Amino acid sequence: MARVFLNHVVKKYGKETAVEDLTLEVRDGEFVALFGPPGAGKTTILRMIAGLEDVTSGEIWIGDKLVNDLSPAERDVAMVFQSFALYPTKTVFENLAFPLRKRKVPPDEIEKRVKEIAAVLNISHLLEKKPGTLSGGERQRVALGRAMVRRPQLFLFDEPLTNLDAKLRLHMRAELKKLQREMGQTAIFSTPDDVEAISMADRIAVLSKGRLIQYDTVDNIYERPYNLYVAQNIGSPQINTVEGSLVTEGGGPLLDLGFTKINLSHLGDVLKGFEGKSLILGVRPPDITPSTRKTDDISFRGRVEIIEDTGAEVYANVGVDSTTFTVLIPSGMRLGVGDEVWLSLNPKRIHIFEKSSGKALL
Amino acid sequence: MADVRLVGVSKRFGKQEAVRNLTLEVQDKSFVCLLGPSGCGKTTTLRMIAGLESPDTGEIYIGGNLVNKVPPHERDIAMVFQFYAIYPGMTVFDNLAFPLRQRKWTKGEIAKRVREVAEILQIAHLLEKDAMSLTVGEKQRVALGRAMVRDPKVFLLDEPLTNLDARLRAVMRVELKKLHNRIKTTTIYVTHDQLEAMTLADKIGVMESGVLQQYDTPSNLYNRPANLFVAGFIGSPTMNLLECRVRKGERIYLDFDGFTLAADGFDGRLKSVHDGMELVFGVRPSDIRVEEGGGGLLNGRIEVIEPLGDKAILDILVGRTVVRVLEYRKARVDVGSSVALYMDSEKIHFFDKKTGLRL
Repeated sequence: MARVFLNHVVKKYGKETAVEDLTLEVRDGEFVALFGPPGAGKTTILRMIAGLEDVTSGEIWIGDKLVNDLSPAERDVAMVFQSFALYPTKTVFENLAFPLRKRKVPPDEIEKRVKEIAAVLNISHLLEKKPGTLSGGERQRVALGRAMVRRPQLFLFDEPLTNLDAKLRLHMRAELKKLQREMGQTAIFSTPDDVEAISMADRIAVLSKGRLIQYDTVDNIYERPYNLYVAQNIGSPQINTVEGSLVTEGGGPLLDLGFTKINLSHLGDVLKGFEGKSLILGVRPPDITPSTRKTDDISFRGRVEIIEDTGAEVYANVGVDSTTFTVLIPSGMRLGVGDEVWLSLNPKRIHIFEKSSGKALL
Repeated sequence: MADVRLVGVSKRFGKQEAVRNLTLEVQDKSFVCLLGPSGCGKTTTLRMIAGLESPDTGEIYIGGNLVNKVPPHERDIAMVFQFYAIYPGMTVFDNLAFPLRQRKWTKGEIAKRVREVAEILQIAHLLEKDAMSLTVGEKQRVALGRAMVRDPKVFLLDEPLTNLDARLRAVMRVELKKLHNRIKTTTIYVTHDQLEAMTLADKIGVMESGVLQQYDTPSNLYNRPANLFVAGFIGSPTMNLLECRVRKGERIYLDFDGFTLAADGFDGRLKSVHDGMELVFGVRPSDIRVEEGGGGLLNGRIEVIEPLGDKAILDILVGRTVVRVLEYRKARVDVGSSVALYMDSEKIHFFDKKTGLRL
């Protein structure tokens, strides 16, 4: 059990800045995702916490200890890598027992702890098998078990689900989340997949090019993205964006999109100073209501370009002027390619970003 | 333009049976996906259509002509592997002209054909650009264009989106679908990703261990899977598949692991079952509604909540089995709470456990 605190951590490789002035706190027992595309700095951060990389400057605290100068072994951290290696000639039991044997834990204690971990991971029936005969998911669980058996105070997972196929990834997502909660251990994982981040983590650190963009709860990241980058990289299908300008008409502020004007008077003072400036409207597919008729003053007309039916959900791409909106089609509504459709945005569920900086205005 | 027909096609590699007695008809202008896990025979099937492998038995027809003995380059098909495989350092024009120059077309003919194809693909304004400077979506169109200039009757695509990240895959999927809506060239597309198949195809052939399991429209595969394999493979999150045993008396009961269900609401669909028969009860996560409290068809306790933004997946422990539910509203229930599960009886799928077949 431990709190992790990174205080103004910087990592440079020569002139290249891999991690830029990162301050981040992971509370005791928390499950935190480091999310971003390749090159965002996720793995470097994990490796610095594990002690596999030095920091260029700044402090790393685990529990109440400053660990900058501690070796990886002294940090009491377990890191599970993206491509995990098991000993192919050893049984699952021996693979799990190995870290304990190295630490000279007595045999009966080893037996007890291996069985305990195997039960938690649902691999008790595999203990006598060799890794080569296991499925990808089973091997993944053995690798997790080997990290867990030492009872480290902190878990680090580097893209734990990336190398699994789609079905297994979905299954392991729930497993891993359940496991972390049951064990109550602090854990940090990295992922390039937004769905993995929002479905598993308590809080998400969104990274871009070595910089922390937003660190918040899953709800806040989704509902109140700090900027366009966060909005466009979290949530799938991707948020719709369209450029407009702020005008004042009839005393109230309106966002003029060309094909419709959205009343923004509920935003009040937030808009001060943005008159005449370019803004970006963001709206997620479920927050657009499609209809075969004009429903209100701000609804606008488009044409269906494509339908994507996943079985459980139907999405339409609707062309409006020169932009395309992805829209969730309610079950029961029949639409075909080429059909005309009216779209209405829920004004309370829209996001407004300043075009020049990308920052959210609310 | 052409239809493609496979009749009783089989293929072995040594002792390994790659494709067994496959009969499949791909209609002219349609988009068909061959879907299945690795090793199911889908790529072998595609390679046989392309002429890169020859079937041991059976016939392959393209546009009504038997092509078993026709070499690949005379089959009038275009095989596209990865979309980003374009020639670097060449303009878009030269990329498109390449296959025609190889065939010694005249300059005039090439210019005319390249422009024609570029216009269909809406890349005419890009012809003089370096192909590497294009967006990924534009590159995809160039790669397809290069396959199109020869005017093939059929496109064969082998997992073209596999190496892209999830977000880009979604964009490319839409582009590809739009394109097919416009050019309507018969397309056979191999993938292991059920979402790609569901969203792209007019019809999907689901394969497993060399055998075609079901060949149908996406909506029929989703709503009426023919067997357990299809039920488990199509749809995400996967269909809940719960094993049970029939107890038949005056009423029909289903005994599950840790709980029993009276089949009163749907016993009409269980007329053919006999006492003691083992069934699999299937219901999709999106077809279950959850309310706090008791009194549902099933009752359980929430173990895990996975938020997905606008929806969430709930893992609910029912008896000793986990049932997954896709909640479209914001989850109003917490981990640990007891909930009732409701579902429409027509959304329940029954399979014979022994044969795997739908009842």
